[in-house]
Amino acid sequence: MTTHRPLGFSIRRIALHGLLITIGIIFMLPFIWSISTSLKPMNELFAVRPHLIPNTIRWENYSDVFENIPFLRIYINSIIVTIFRTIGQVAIASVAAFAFSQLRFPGRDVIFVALLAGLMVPDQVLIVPRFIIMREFGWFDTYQGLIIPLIFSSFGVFMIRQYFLGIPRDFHEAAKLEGANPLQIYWQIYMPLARPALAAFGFLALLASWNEFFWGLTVTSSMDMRVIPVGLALFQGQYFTNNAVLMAAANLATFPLLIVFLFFQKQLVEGVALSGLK
Amino acid sequence: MTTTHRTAIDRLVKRRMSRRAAMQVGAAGAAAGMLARVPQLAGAQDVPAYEGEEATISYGFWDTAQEAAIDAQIEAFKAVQPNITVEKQIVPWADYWTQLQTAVAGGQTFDVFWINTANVPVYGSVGALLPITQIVDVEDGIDTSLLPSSLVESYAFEGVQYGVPRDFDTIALFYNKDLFDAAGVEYPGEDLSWEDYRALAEQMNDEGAGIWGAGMQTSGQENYTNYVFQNGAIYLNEDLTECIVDSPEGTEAFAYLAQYFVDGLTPSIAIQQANPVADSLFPAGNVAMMTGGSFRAGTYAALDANIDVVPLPYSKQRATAIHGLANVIWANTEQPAAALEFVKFLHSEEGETILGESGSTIPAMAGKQDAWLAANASMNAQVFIDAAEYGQSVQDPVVGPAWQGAIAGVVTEGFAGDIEPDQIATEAAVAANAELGG
Amino acid sequence: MSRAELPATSTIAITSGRGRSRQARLEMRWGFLMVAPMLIGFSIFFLIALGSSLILGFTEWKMVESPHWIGFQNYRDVLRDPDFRTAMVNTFAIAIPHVILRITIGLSLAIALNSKIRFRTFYRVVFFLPVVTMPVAIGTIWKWLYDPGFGPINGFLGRVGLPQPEWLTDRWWAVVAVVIVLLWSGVGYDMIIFLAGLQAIPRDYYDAAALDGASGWQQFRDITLPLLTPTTFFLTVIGIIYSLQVFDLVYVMTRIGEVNQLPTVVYFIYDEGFRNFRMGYAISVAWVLLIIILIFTLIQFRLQKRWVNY
Repeated sequence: MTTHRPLGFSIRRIALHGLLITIGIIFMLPFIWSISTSLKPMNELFAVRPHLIPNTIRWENYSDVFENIPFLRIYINSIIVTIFRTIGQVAIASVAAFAFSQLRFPGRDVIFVALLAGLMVPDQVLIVPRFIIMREFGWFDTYQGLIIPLIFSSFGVFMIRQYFLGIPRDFHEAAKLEGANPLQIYWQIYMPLARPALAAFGFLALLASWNEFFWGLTVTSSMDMRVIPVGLALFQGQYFTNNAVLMAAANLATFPLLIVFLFFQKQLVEGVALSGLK
Repeated sequence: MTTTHRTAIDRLVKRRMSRRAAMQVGAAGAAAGMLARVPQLAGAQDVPAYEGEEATISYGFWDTAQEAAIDAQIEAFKAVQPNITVEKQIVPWADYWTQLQTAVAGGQTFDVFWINTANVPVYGSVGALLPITQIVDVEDGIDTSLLPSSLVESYAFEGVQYGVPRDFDTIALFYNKDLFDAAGVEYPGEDLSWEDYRALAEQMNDEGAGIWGAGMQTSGQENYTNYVFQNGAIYLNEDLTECIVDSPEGTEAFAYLAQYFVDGLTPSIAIQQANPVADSLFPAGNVAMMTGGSFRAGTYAALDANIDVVPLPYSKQRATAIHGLANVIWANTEQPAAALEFVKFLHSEEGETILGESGSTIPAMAGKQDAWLAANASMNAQVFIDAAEYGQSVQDPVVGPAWQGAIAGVVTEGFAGDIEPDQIATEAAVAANAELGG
Repeated sequence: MSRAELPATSTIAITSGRGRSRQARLEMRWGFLMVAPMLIGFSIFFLIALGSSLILGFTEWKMVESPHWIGFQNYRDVLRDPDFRTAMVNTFAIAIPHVILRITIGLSLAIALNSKIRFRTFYRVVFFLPVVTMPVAIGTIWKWLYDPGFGPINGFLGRVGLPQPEWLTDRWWAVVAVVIVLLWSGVGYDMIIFLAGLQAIPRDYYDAAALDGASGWQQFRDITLPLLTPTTFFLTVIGIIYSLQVFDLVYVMTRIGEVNQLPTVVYFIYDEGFRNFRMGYAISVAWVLLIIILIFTLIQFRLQKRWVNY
């Protein structure tokens, strides 16, 4: 969209960078703060005017994380659960999104809005019936209990549907003329074309799953089945929280997300760019 | 209209009504049936004694700081009852009650778990807890004469004992020795009246240096409840149906505290919102004195700060809010005998000794508190243990603790200056009554 | 450009009945087949719970004991409850500016960072950082920034001679403060979705427009903005659904001790249901909220024909 200039200099560009850097610093503050806090000894945590750079650096906060709770086990649980939930959500939501955006069947729009209603009710008021369903299934403290109820994403259906609607329907018609069935059209045409949206949704689903707290707390009871957000909550006590250890744990939890984000943001913008209609 | 007509119509109406009522009951019942095998009041019949059968029970609690002590207790219990396996289930504090409610409603929860006094009437009144009367004050059972009596009473509901305290906490006055030294003021004594306390706060207040004389927290347990009790006021009437804290004594207590805010002797509410007194302003050395709980002693002892502690100031009488946790048993547990056995062990000489040795909390049993004192040797922590003698519990109605939240809301507004100091108690009572009556 | 003229399939009324060809029947079958996994899972793990909550909304239910039927009492109480009204006002005061600004800023960031600007990967990561930062960290740092006594914001305002509000204690300043934090932590999220949406716009269009001598602004107005409307529509609908349910961050930011200075509707539901043991009532409030959000959503689906290009 930008015009190419041999040297990247212009007043507008410098102004833009200036603006982005200013906003960027504000955006980075909490991140810097959480790193700084994670390295502080306890007596520096209470300071009324906190120092950004700790007077004494205490690396042991990071090893304390592993001493307080079985963090490694919890970490692995989160990885397993997140992988399956993300794949499940993308697969189920994209198939449904294709049907909602490309196929005609009775009740389609009503069903679609009903799915959205799933996003409009706070989890807290549904928790008891859902708890009982888990009890009847015998899924407490299991991976299937953590994973399966959360692989149905109305958010994903809606997001991918919108993207599919934006793809010129000529692709669909052309494939249909060649005798492809809807599943083939979905898989061979729409999925590759929607790569940026799938990458975006995939990453957001992964993020949501990694940070999911309420369900993870409700369906598990033993320490061996807990997931990261529940583990982090365990660092917050009734009367006292060592914020340094908490932040150390939080940073350990966040770090892989940033790596994954670096990878995804490329997919997101450098996926298959539509080449328009020929 | 003749009588016969009338009765006929009545009967018809009645039948229709009852059919409708039946449908409604049916619908609610369907939901209920799905929801809960919530027990209807378990009778007082005794659970048959444990006879060595294999059993697995879960033990729910929230404090990771006590995990090591609990591991040791479970280990020791295993030696006594090798056929009972105890699985610990730790729930984060912030979500503990929510989880418990959900699990009880969902019909599957911990066999044995921690509870606080406020929740005993709530769960006890609906039969969700198993009475432990059969193991209390019997031969080889739990000896309540070694425990703080006000707490033992708090764990009974309508004459049935559901638990006994495992530990307790009381409130005392922390002060920062360095600040007193710097100001050349003598440390607070053991014998402080409200007036003495106020005079000390004025003496220590130094706006220029950013030092407040007193740190008035917004918490009831650590702050205003103590003053209410000291002035001879109580929160609720005998039936626990009405809030009577708007008595002259209650009114005076809240006005006394609010005056500290008016006169700038304590950090304002806006400042406390960003910098909680107990977690920031006091340990950082911006506040000279603060009334706080025994549970803070360990944290403060671990800091380099020079902090010591004396008994709370008093007014008409000495008083402190006392609180403690109990182990209770879920009424629907499949292993009531094993659960009773475990609870009995936790409150036995051995169980309380192990808890005491961890130094993580004050064990409820008299004589087991040395390790806790040793862990906080840098201050005169004995005052917390001595305070148990004049400890007073907050009353707990069946409707739950919502009324306490209502009072906290009003008091915070009062401290922020939105309510006149002498009106705080009145408005607090109004707000609490709305929750109690509702 | 034939795209914009394509019929919006989602809004086509489904014609039923006699004339339906074999092909249409086949398409219908495929349609049901492809939504089936989603629908089955949704029914088991959501619809059953929602159905029971509909019944429970008509009961008095402490959670720890069986519910009992009280008819419409809860709903009558909700409409009269001043605390509910306060929560509703707070929620809308936060949600409306939040949704509007979030989409505007998210879109601007996406466009700036979709261009071939230098360091764009770095910027993308930076603007996304708050999305992955722990809520506790967010709450703590912003509380410190807003601190009226020792915080840098008021320190700065004081130095340049501007008024220093008590950000989180005064109700309306608290709304402003909370909206800023929500924006700060949410624009990166919208940026990601807009970035994906931008990829759907064929590059040829810009090339053609450039050949015709259209300026950057004209290209933005005539190509980017209209062709991005499906994404914008999505984010508006989702934004309203989510911001009417704001809860934890607002609570973490504005509470003093256990006292919430700026209760929102979902906080109210949580408080009534769990802390006050009035889950039946809490559920009826959730249903009122559901209906309000649903009305907003349906209105948006109605209005989309006027502005969304598929």
